[in-house]
Amino acid sequence: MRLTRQRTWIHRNEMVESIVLEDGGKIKFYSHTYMGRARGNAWMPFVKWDNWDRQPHVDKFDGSGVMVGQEACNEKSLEDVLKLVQIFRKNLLSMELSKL
Amino acid sequence: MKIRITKRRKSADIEGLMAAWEKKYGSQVSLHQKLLISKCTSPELMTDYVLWNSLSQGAEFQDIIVVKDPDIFEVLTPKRMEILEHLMGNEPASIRSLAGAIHRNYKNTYDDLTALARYGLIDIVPRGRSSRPSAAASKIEITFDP
Repeated sequence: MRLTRQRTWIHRNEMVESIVLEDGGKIKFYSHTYMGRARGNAWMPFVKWDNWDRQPHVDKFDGSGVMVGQEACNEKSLEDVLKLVQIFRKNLLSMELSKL
Repeated sequence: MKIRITKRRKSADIEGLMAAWEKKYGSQVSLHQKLLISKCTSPELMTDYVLWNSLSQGAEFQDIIVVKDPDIFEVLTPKRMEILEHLMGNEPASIRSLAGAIHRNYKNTYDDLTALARYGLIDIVPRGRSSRPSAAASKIEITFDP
């Protein structure tokens, strides 16, 4: 089993934290969270793509870390997520993420 | 341009992580229950659960930091690089002893360590009333994407 945690800084106060668990070369679990630093230095999630319970989906959060929506979507690799985050940044919060 | 930092994770670090989770959540079972009660809406609970569960089963752990933000070069000043280099080869017991070793005053050393820690380049571990700085990175690579 191999566990990889990668934190990618997109901007001074924005990053993507990715957790990928591989077993026998296959991805068993992934979670990619786009988050921003709030006041007091705490990290607040904006959007999270994961396959908890083997169901790929995307979660959207409000500015205070409360989940405000969840939709099924295709599996996303870290590269896919980084591309989306770098292009759209916080505009992702107002987009229909399941279609991206 | 991107900077890729591979973090050094010794077995003592992993034991430290597990001890911190045990203190925070009690047990893996209680963390799992918390996660289910929250209906998996908390990324922090999910991350901690997956890390704890996999590491306790002996998973190989790779911890990587990638910086695509050009502002990182504002952080990597010559004085801070000197601190980073010193920490790669030494393990000072406290910030004060680091400041003494590099002949700088406490406040400036503390400010530089805080700036480096912000990007995960170093770890500052609280030890009683003081804090022990250590180099988090075992490898730092700078690449320029076409």
